Amino acid sequence: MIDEQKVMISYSRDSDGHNKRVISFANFLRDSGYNCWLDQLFKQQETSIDFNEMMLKELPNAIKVIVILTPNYKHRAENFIGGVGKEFRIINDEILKYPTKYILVSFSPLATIPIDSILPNGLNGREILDLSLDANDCYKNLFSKLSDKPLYIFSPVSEQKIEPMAEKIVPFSIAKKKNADKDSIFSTIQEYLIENKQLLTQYGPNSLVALNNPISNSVDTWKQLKQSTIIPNNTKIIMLLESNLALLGKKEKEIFYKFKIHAQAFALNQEERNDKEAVPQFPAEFETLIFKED
Amino acid sequence: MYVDYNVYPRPESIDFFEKVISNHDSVISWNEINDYYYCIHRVNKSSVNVLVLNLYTVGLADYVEFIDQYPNADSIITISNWNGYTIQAKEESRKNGVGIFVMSEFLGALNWDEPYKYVRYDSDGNPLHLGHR
Repeated sequence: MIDEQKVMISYSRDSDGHNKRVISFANFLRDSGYNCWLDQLFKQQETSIDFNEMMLKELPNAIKVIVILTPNYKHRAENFIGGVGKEFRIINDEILKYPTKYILVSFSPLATIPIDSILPNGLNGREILDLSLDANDCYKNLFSKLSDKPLYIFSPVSEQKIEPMAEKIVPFSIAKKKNADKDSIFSTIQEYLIENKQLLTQYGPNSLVALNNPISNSVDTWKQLKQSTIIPNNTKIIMLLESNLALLGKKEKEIFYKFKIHAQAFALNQEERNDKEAVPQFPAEFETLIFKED
Repeated sequence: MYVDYNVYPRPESIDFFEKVISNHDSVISWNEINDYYYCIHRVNKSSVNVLVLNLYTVGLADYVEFIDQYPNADSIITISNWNGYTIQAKEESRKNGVGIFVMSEFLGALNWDEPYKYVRYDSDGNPLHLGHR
């Protein structure tokens, strides 16, 4: 569907080649569905056209005006020469009022010419569309400006603002963390020791059943529990402390090694009895160490 | 008088020992020679002098120490099934005609002419050394 509202081209007649290039550009826009007009087209509509009247009438009524900038256009605009001079007066009047109406373009690559050489005073700082670059992108920018359709879809601004959560930094203290780790490890070990002690009390050599009936078959239960629970618990304790030795002080390490020797000898003693001197008893100081925080 | 119950049996264990011995088929009578040291008279068999202890493990050093104190002892019992002895102590005492047992073994040994030679076997005929573990 042809847009009835006109797209006007404002340009300077620099040369025959430039003029034909502008006409070719106008045809390209018309082929692209834009109702593009320029003086040459009006000239063909009437045998004796009044260009002053045409400009005063058509530019203000156009939906879009493409201004093709060249050094000559700048010269004629700034000096209000000819049709360009008249058009530039209108452009200057309207460009502030209609921020999406005027499209400043250049056929020449902007990288090869100083912008000041083509941009008339009064339009300083305004965007110039480099058509040589836009051609590489299928004139997306040009059509976006002509159609008032955005190139990119931007999200609406949400009513809910996301704000970063302030991270609370704990006060600097290596020693405190060390103690926290140690407390946690000791707490775990406490559970193993408590379980072992319960089994010892219930089924061990000094249990009620062992004292009241020294030939009780409960000794078999004791032997099984040693293998299934007590020795594995001791192994876990050893592994736990050996992987966290740095948390222990010198004296604590000494106590731990006493426990380790006891635990290893205790396990070996299940395979074959050793002299009691070779199987040190559970060091009571280890229990004191592990439970001292309570 | 202080008694180290890690060496000598608790009173309840002694009561248990005396009760079980009294009811043993091979035993005619028994008498207590000293605390923890008994002479057991058997049916058609020699009497046995037995020292009753409560050592968790009877090692060679323990055997040597106690046999020095009780040179006429034929058997040393470490009364609880939870207790035991080292192979070294067992073999050395056997050479000297002395048996080291846990209580349940001793009840079987009383049926043997020479208790120190007593060995219990499992169902497959393998010797069981209850006190070794």
